[in-house]
Amino acid sequence: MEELTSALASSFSVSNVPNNPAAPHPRLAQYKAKSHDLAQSERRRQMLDRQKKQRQDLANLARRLAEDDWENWSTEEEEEEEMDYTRKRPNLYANQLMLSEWLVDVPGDLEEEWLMVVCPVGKRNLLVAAKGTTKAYTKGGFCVNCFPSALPGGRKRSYSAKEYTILDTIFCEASRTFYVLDIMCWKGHPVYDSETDFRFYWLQTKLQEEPDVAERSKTNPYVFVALKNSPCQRLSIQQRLAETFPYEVDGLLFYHKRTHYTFGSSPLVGWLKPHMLPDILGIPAPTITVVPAVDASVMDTTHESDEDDTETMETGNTARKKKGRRRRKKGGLEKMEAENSTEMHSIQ
Amino acid sequence: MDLIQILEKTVSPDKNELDAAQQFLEESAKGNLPQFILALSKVLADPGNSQVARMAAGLQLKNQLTSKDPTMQVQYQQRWLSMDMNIRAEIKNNVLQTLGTETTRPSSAAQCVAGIACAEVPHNQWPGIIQHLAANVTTPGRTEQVKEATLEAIGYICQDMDPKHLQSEANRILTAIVQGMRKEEPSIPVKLAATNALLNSLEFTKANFDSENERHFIMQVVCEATQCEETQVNVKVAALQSLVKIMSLYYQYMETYMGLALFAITVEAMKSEVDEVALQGIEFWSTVCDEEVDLAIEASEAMEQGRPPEHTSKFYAKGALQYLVPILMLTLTKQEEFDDDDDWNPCKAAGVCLMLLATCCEDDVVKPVLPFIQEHIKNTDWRFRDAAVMTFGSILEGPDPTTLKPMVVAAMPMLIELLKDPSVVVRDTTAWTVGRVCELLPEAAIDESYLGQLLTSLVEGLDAEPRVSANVCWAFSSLAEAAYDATESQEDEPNTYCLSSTFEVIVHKLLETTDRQDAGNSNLRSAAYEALMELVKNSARDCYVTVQKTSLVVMDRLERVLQLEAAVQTSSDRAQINDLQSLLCASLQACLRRMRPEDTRQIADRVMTMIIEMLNVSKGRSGGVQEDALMAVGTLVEVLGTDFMKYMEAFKPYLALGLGNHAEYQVCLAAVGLVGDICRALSTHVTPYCNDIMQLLLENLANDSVHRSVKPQILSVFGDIALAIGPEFKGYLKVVLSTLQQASQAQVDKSDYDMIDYLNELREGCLEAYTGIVQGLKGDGNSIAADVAELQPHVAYIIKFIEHIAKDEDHSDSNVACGSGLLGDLVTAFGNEIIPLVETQTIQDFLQEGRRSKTNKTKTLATWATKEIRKLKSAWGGSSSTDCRGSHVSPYPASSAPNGHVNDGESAVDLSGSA
Repeated sequence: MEELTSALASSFSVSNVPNNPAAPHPRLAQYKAKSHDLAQSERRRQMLDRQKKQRQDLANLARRLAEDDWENWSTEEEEEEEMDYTRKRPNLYANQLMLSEWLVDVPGDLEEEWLMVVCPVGKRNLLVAAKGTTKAYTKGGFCVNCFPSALPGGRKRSYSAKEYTILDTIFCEASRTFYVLDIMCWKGHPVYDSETDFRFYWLQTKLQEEPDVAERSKTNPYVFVALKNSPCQRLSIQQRLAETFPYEVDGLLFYHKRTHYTFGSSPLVGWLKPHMLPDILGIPAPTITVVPAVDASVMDTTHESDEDDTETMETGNTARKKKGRRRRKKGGLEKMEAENSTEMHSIQ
Repeated sequence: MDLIQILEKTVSPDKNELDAAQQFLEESAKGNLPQFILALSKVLADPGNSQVARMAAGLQLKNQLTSKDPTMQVQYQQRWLSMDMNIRAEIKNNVLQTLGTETTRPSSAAQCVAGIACAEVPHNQWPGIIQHLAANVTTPGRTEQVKEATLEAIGYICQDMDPKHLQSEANRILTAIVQGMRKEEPSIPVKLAATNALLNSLEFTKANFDSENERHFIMQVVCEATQCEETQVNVKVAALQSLVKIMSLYYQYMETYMGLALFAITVEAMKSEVDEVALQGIEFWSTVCDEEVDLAIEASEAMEQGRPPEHTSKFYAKGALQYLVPILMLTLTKQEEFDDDDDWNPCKAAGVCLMLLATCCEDDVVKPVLPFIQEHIKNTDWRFRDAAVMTFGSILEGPDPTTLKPMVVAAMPMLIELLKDPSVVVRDTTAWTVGRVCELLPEAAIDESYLGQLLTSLVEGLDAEPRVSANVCWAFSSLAEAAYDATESQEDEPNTYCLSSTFEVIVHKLLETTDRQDAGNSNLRSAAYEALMELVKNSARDCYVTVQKTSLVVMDRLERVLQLEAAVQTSSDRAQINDLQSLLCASLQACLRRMRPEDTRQIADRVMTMIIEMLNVSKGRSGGVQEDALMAVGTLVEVLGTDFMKYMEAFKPYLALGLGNHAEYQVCLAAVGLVGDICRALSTHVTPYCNDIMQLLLENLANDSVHRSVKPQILSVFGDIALAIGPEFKGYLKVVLSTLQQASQAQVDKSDYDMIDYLNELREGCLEAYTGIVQGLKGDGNSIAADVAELQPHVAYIIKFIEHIAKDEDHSDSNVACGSGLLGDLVTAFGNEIIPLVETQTIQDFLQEGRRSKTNKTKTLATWATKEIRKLKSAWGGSSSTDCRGSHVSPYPASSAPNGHVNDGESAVDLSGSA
């Protein structure tokens, strides 16, 4: 009778019973689990991966592509307009920054929909922290510096392959500081397709989470400082400019809150020099107080240019006029912008 | 003898009687089955018969309808449905009448009802059955026995029938169940049956959970059932189980109930003295963690795509953390001293739950656990020491490594000490914890202030009990990797590293460990060999002599094992020998990968002789051994390059055997991969063997008994062969191109993720094949060989195929890489005449996707292809139309578009995903 009862009790079940009391508990495998697995299935997978890689390496050999590391490419010469196609590899770091246009045409929604960042004098760098090193590239994709940093992925021993960071920065040589304008990637998560609002928020919070980046050390020789952003009401701009700056101010960048991070110059990012503020925005010319982090005397001061162009700008003050002139002067303005952010000095 | 007597004999203690009864029943079933089942149902239904006879009849009846084997099950159900309708009706009537008339539990009639319902309801053959059962429960005046048996039947039906057949009856079923679960229900058995049925019904009552009122009601009844008295512990457990399942199915609806009831109920359950109750309480929170970890993943994916996540975490685990952790840690102190490995108890559940909480709550978990660890790690009671170490080990994954590192560095000396604890339980837990440190916080593990001490203790630990020692092996595996990664060397192989000075000692001890008498326990032997492989794989240059010596030891052992073959008698001996051969073969591979080519050459003859012998003796015996043997050949081929030629004649038959091994597809897969290796190594020298190989590969593709996972690999290997033999491939071109065309048109069931992956693999195989063919025919010289013209009529089709992939939103990044590479190759080979074909928006978007890929390989290839196209265009003099219809190359040279259906009649490829 007992047997019959148990036969009935255990032999029912048409499908596999999920809560079968006779089977080992589904979580038992999690108890004191060991992950290391060189079991046959793992060896099999590794073999297949290796075969795949070798197949692709061989194919790439025929394509004259080094299977290796595209990051090394950037050290090569920047490509010219008409490319020499036979040998040169693409420079993957060229044109990776979102650049501004002059904010001559003040957008109607400036006060509500834009954010402003006060930029230091310095060199615009694309910063890539990956595989245990951090590299700085110019807009054209030259690798100008390579060093360890406390950014995720930026130094030896503290990175996993997934962790890499890409930032849009302005480098101040004198203070050995990278001022971070924008964030494109953090710990392997790209945020190119997020809006400015979010990226700026992300930039502030993520950098705070890594306090080491703000401390100079052997494995973080340059410090990283997230640039503050502020709203664009006339008063807010004035207040912001009345603050003390640890850096020499170059100009103001205006970001549309809804723009994604795009490559090349964007009409949704505007640039103004401080002295242009009265003319364009009707804000009194600010007196900027600088308390530099490092003796200002070592600073290079070549960052002055485009006198002629700005002069012409100061003559008009209605939107329509500016529009007309803008069209006319577009070539000149773009050149100005180009000069504004070309290399002013080079690092050792 | 009549049927009743026979049935009673099925429990006879006399073996002869029992056998005779069984035989009689089997023969009756083979005879007139409908009449036999009918007779059984009559015995079952008649309360005048003995309980034994009735139960045995029920069991026999049920066995004619159900089987644990799913295919048999379907056959049984079809057999039942083909029976005469009137007889079936009579049987159904009999079993329904039986409900509630039995005096034994569980009710056999309930199982019979469920068995028949599972066969008939999906075919609409038993309308009204659910209504009938529900009425049995809800109609006032039905006896307790009727209600209980009926609810049991409902429970079985809910458990075994596909939920989609029950959705329309969900309301009726729920009403009956809830009726049985009510607080007011006086009968415990009825309550239990109802609660079990509820547990089984949760999957298809989504609509009821979607409605707020019904949800409130269900939740109220379940929560009340968890509060029933101690005497009703089964009901309590079943109700808690239901809560666990509700949490995993309906997480998003739980906010209202969590604070009001669920938290209090489950925390109370966790503290229960009754193991089954405590287990469910803990399981509830483990489930919450599982859900919230998934939700965190979903959130980060959503962020990556710049959109809000569909479901959001309510962070219950974080909120409850400080209350849960103390209970869990106390539960950890309730270890069994002599624990059965397969037992599941609250102590183990608490360990797993803590681990999940750490993964889920990350940094937050550290603070609440620290005081307990500090207080008890030196406790005189081993239970508390073990709980403290277990807690420490459990939280190592989740919190930020930088937070953990200083804690771990501070704790390591104590852990090293505890590796020698008098209690084996503590030693085991400590060894596991050290293993986790090595794996998760490698920098802390190799801290030089104690590394020497740690290594000494670990080496000693290899002499400990098998379970302790297996954990030590695991620690060595991770340590090797950590030590290797920590070298700053940019080159492949560092000159020296922190394990160099002890390397030989460790390797020696591991080899000894694999030979331990008790190495069969706790997987110790495999763990030791695996650690050995990791050490060899992650060895510095100054360890080379040891690696070389190891290879000799491994070969000696392999030869010895091969001699043992003849003496193998029992199947457990056989399994052991097979495992050993696999492990040795894999260890040999690890050594060969690390050895200098000139040293490998010296032992190559010996290795090949041995492998061929292994393949000979394992033929038809062990696929696992054959697979590892073939992989070892692959390693040798890679090292030897064209020197492998001298073994080709001798090895050829074994390669063919592997390719023809359809039964063990892993062997076949290894052989296919090996063909690729051989092609890359031998290049044009492989030509004389290609006819045979191609024949076998094509046969495999057409054979539907060959496992589907082999087929994409075969396509890729076509590319390897084409690339190796170049113009010689023209002889196979026609058949291969037509095969690829069929394969590229394969379609799969998109609702199945596995099949989406499979489709991507298949397409990648095609892309790789095309790539090999284009490159092979084009030649590697600077000028394009004329042979490539043979491919010309197919170019438009190939590009359409890439477009087809591009338009499929499920394509993989790897597809984009291969597709981009192929596009570049095509453009290079065929020049400007195909420019219009690649200037379509789809192809341009596809390349752009590649250029923006997160994978370097994909980025590189897509950028390269883009530039090849641009280069050609500028050489040709400006851009052409972006519309390919203007081209003189027809997009469809062959019969159909790439998205058309395959298989009009005969097919050379079977890609149905069978086997």
